[in-house]
Amino acid sequence: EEPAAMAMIRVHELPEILGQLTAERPVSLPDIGAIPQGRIFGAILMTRNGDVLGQSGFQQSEADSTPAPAPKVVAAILSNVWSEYARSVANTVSFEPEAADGGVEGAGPLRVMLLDLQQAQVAVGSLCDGEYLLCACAEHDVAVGMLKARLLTLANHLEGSLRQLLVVPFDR
Amino acid sequence: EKEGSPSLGRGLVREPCCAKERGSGVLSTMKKKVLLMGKSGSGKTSMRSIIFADYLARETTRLSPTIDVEYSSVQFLGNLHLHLWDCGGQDDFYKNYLENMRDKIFRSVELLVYVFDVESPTVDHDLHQFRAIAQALDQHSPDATVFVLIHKMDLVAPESREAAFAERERSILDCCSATMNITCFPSSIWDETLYRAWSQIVYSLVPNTKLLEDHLGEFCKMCAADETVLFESTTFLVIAHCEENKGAHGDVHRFEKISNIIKQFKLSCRKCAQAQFEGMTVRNSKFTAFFNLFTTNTCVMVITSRPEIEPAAIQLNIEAAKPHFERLIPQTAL
Repeated sequence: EEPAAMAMIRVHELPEILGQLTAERPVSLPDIGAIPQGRIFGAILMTRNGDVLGQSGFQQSEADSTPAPAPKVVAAILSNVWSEYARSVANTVSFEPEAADGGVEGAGPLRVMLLDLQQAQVAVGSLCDGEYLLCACAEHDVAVGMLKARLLTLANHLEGSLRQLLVVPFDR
Repeated sequence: EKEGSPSLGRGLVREPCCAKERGSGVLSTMKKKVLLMGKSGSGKTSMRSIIFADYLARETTRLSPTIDVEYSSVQFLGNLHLHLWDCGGQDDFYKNYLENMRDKIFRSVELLVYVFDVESPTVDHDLHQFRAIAQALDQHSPDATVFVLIHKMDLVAPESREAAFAERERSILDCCSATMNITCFPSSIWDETLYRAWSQIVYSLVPNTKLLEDHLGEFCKMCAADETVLFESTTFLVIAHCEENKGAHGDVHRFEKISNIIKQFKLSCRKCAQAQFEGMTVRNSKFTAFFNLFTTNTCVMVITSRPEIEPAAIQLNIEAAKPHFERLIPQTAL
């Protein structure tokens, strides 16, 4: 008989998956040619408490003299900042599913946080209703819309898999 | 009447691989009887308190003015109950067991653990007693397994140990019928041989270790671990283990050593910090080892030498695998 399925993470694949964010991706448009792009130099998947589940990037680049930040520290700080903002959003923004005229979508829990810092910019997204956070740290050259889009693409990809961990496989 | 019932247990009904096990649902509540016997002063009580320290419900039964049998029951690995009949070893007691209490003691025995003191001056007499016991066992519980521990091996000079053990083993096997299932082990409370012997004993009580090890193997792969070990949580004896690269580790006796160390640590936590042992993570440049309480009756140890594996991810997998193994283990301890 086949053993019943266990929902677990293939932990060794995490760095590879997160590597999709940090991989070099030169973009070239037909009439314009190559577009200069900054790099996303680090990505972290963490629990809501800031425990790192997997990371990619954060290598010291030759051009840079400042040391690369430690993922553990980045995760700890970002998860803290996230929880502060998530709480504020919950307290100050109302959750109306739909406006009466059906036009505007109501606000919900915090989903993406974009931080513009002195030496970098950071995008943080929530997975599984805030149980996990995915963050991408990038140079300023990266267009913020592109950063958000790439983050959310990977987040959506991971969401499905991570949800299985939270569901009790055999209820009843 | 429990056999056909769909409410036999959560999850039991849902998984296809248990349909076969359901029929033995009634058996699973039966307690398994283990006898611990041997001459007085052979070291049974010390052995028992080391392996099952602090977890015994003690009951001294005085069956008659001259008989002293200490009976204790240890619940173990789900619904396994070890009944330790620590029978006094004086000659009079032996006569009593063999004559008056023969069927009470020797019926429905799963396992007999018999202890010999290697330094005993009365070797022939000891063998004679053992033979009588073995015969009584064979008569009332013909399917029982017998484990013989040649104890106090520390009193023998290291260079002569192997020979001394071989000689004893031969004389023991010679004095019993060939149909009996007897295995001998050297043991001493001063090194890991005691744990090794009891680990084998426990391992033999858990049926379906193959199934358990298959599942453990999957768990091991998902965690990209070098090795995963399942310990019984009261005694810290190894129940199952899985190694990614078979035979990669040089020390085949590492389990006993680990059992010993963690058990001591756990007891220290209790004594010094009055704390319940939950788990432990050991990390250095070469590896990370996680010990965690796993199911109700087990602890798991996961070792990985890959630096890119984050502890939190392993913890997540351990949490995720718990309910699965929780269901699996009661099935294997019939």
